Amino acid sequence: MSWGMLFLQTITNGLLIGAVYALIALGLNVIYGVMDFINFAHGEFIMLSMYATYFMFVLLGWDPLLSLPISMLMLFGLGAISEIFLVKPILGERMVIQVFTTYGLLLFLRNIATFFWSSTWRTLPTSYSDVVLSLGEIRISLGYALSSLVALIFTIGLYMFFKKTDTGIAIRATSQDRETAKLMGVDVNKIYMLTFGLGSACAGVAGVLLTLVYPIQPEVGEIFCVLSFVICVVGGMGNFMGAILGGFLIGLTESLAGFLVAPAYKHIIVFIVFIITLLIRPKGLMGK
Amino acid sequence: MEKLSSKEAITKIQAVVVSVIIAIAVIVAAYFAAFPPSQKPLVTEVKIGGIYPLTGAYAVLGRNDRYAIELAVDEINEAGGVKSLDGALLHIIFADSEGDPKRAADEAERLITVDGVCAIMGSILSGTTSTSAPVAERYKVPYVNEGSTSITLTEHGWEYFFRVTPHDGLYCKFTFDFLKWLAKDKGVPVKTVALLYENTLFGKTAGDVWKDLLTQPEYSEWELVADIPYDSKSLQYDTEVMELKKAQPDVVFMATYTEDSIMLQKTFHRLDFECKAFIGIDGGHITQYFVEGTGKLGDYVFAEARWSPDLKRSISQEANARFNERYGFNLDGHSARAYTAAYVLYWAIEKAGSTNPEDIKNALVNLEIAADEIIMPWDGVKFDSKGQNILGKGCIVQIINGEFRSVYPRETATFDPVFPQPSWEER
Repeated sequence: MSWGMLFLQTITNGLLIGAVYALIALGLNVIYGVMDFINFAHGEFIMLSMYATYFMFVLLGWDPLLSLPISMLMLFGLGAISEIFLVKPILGERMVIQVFTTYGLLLFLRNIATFFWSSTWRTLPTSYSDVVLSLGEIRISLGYALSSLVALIFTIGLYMFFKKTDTGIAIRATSQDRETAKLMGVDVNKIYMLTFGLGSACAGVAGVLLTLVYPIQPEVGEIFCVLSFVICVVGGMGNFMGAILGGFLIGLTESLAGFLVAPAYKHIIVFIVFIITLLIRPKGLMGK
Repeated sequence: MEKLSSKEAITKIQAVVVSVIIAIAVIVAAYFAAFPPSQKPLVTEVKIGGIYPLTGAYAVLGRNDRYAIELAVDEINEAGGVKSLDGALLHIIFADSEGDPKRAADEAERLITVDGVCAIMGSILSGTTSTSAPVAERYKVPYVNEGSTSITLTEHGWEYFFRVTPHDGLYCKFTFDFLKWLAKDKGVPVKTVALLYENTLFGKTAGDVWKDLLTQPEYSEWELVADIPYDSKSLQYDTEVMELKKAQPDVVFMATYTEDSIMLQKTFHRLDFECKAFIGIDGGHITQYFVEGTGKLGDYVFAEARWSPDLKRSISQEANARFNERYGFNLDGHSARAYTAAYVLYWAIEKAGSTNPEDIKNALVNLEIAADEIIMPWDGVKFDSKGQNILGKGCIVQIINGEFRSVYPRETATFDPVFPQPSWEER
């Protein structure tokens, strides 16, 4: 394989993983953008969705892509319930209280998962997750390609929802000015519940797609949590497009840094990019 | 008058009691003077402590080791106990370390001071062994370790510490010796190697040992073309595998945990990285999760597994059959070593013929066990001045159709290894 081809393969890898990264971070940013609220248990929501997908596959034989709407709805429900019982009482409180509450939720969910499903690693053996497509010399895993594609469709769908529907407009209005939206007759409480549900549904979709490429375990949320914060901050906290841009940027930076410098230095370079971004644009690339 | 008479009465009783006591003492003394004790005091029970992580993240490892030790102890007791102590029975008292170094040290102290054990076994994890062994050292109680492989444990100059298992350095060297034999046996030259290891203590140690070995003349025929430490909590390993694609090594040596071993194997396939062999050390590759997680893609991987249930040694087969009959699953790399360590301690007590920790320690120092007496594929058990067993060996397995088959050392192996591995397309 020539250097040029290796380089092209690296770019492809970066873009494919970037799409998955973007989806992981999206939910976090949707919630923060509207509610000014950070859900530290975001990674655990993804983990729960992974388990839901896994068990629907193993027990009922449902393919992850078919059971996706169910996992998404389950996570929407979980998000909405969490909003009512955990988030609403502390909304508008100091940041530290939000951190403690959702971190508590994180520990609770992680330990519940360990209790019920043990710390065993599980993998979801779909017929297509190990299939590799060849474009000339470039190789693309069907699992990654499918998850990027679904991520893209879902993101566009969510974007259209925010732009075109009345509810979407109400959500955006609330995110811009909570008081004015209230005066215009928007039921802010309902909007918050919906937003938290939607953010969690994003985690749900991310979880389903991750089962195609990643093993499942109760501690797996930890990996997603740090990553989604980095992506959101680089892209712009609370900005819809920011999460997507940040996802691709981090994915590509990792791949290129690993290829051009050395894999051992890829995280150093990612964080150099992270720091430079913050120096130039303290609110992230898309932040206002 | 009343008072005086009662005082007199007491004095009389006291006098009787005292004279009886003196009489008994004189008789006993006379007895021992006439028949000096040719035997040590009668011992009916030999108390041994066992520190294992019975709850917490490592509970499964702890449970399996406990099962293996209980099986060994029951076998020893059924065969007549410690014969040099008139058939005294071994009694093992387990303590839960929870995998926590602090807790392990406390439990060691309790076993010695409260339960009065004459030796301690433990404790799987290098972290808990490094805190509990110094406690035993302080109380001068021998500590027999079955499976903590951190090199440093035998470098402290502890006199009461005896490690039955080979350490990481020896295991790493063993994988190199295996490849040397393999290349020669199959007539397939190996010129370049790559190292791929996770970047915390376990993987980093393996990486450092391998790099050090490569500088020695013994292995100078191999050129190191890629040295890749990685973070085992990554979502993707594309960059690491691309680096390997650039370097084109003949063989890749790996030290992995679970999820990364699965992800790496899938990425090798996805990005079409070909080489002659993957050789893993312990870690992820020897878990059932790796086999399940990679399916057919995991075939032909070599791994240093400590032990394999298919070893060609009748004593190993029999012990595994008994274990399986009792618990419903096979011995593994950890529990097989725990079983062996329990026997090593028993042999030492038998040889010492005493429950005095000092005598047991001296027996361990001079202990020599032949290869055919143990279930591990080793040359036997003999401790050097640091307390390290110098006759230990590794056990290389190859995954064939999702099953681990032992391939090296050849004396105990049951399968002829496949090398070089078929390309992804040929599979």
